[in-house]
Amino acid sequence: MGFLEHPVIDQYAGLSSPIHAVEPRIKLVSCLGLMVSIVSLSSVAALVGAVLVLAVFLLVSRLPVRYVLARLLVALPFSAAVLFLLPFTEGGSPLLVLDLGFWHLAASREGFTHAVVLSLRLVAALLVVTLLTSTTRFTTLLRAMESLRVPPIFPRLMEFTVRYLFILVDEIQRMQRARQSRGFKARRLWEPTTLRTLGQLIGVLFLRSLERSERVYLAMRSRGFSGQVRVHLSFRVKPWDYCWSGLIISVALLLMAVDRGGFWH
Amino acid sequence: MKVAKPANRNVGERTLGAAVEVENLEYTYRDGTRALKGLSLTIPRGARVAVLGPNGAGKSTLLLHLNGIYLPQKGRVRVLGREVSPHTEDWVRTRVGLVFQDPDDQVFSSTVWEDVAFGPTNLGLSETETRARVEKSLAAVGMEDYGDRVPHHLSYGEKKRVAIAGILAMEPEVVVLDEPTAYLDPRGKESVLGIMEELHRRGKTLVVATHDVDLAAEWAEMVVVIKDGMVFAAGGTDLLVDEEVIRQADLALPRVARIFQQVSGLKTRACPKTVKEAVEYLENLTGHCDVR
Repeated sequence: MGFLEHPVIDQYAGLSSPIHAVEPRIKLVSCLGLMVSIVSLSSVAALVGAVLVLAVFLLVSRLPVRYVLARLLVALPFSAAVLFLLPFTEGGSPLLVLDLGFWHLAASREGFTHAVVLSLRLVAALLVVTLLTSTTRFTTLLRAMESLRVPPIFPRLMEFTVRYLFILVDEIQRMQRARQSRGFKARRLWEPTTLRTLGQLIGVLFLRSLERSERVYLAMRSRGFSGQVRVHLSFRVKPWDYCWSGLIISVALLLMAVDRGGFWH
Repeated sequence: MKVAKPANRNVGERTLGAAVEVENLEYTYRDGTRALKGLSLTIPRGARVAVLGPNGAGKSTLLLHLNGIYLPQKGRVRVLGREVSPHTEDWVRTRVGLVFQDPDDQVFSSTVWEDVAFGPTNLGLSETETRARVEKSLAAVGMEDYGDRVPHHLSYGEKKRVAIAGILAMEPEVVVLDEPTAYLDPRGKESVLGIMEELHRRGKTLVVATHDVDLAAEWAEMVVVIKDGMVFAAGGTDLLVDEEVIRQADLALPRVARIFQQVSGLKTRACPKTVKEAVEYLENLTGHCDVR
């Protein structure tokens, strides 16, 4: 049951590299800025440049290549759909014409370019996210968000989600095994018994989660929680952090310049 | 200590320096369940108290009253002489620490260190003070090397110890534990009992809700049996071999006592309840008839 295994997003956060060493708040803001500038790019050249620059960053960060590629797989269904559909739905100069008797399909060059641009944007954005979340501990990232005055409800919500996701996954697994040991086999989804069983599973999970959330809240109040989230933070900005910020700003500006046809004309 | 049979009336004189006094406490849940129906109880400072009773007797509801999570609908709860009310509930939570049964309900942060720091931070303590308390509490439960660990990677027993550390970091005078040994392996149980022993040595008042009559017999000095939302009996561990109490409150004899009852038809009151008592008893016996 591979999909039920506990997801770990920061397993490589303990490595040491110049990217790991960037102060978390600066890393968060710079990566967000870089992402915004990348998403605004619309030429293939600039986007390829962005992907290459990010590849260099990722190499410097010593993240295993396999791991990064696995994270990119998320983009595959979307990219595939876009590459398959857009050339046929957008008008423009024909690139490829399919003649299926009474059906006449034309793939446009503009549509194809558009699909490539969208896919590249997605890949580049995913690379930025991977760079950020894989070189920073999850908790550190949350504390950085809090320190940047992100409304505390968001980091807390993320923290709770990740913490209790594992427990929920364990609970599903236990229930699944208990059903299997009484002879239940998930057959086709449209069979009434399968549907009913799965419906009950979801219902029970909701109920259990609700009850647990109540107990968690009581336990939090027992330790003096009164709705206010308080944390002690200790981040220090080093010279390298200024270099990193400068580097990211220049990369972003350069990419945008390339995108607009270059400042050298 | 004398057995106070159906002690649902007023407990009587207020013990000077009692850790917790509960008087005629009543609590009805919104769905109409009357969980507590006039419960009265006095827990002396520094005592080791086991609260026993069948499922649904009102144990958990009582525990949640002890640190002001539930406020009395009727009757009153006094902690260290101060009445628990909306004005004192923040204070009472610093005096009475509640360790929940399932550590996953309590340990919610993404690292052990942060979770233990949760209480002190809520108290508004300085960073240095928080750090000192976290280190001290983690050391007290033998988890000082686990600060950076992620709770869901820990074993159940380790999570339990982190939960206890999170309460100790509040530096409470009274520590209330709900089923502290449930689901633990023998080693985990041993280690939790060790922590409880150490807390007792440091003068904390300990209240433990449990179904484990052996634990109550070996560990407690005061036993409170709850039934139908009231105190059915309160007194020394002799209550645990009181046939009437056991039958009425759906309890069982401690294992050691069960053996002696079957072997010799001893009168229940003189019957050994703990391993230590049994050993003494047997040594006495062999001493008398000189078996060698």
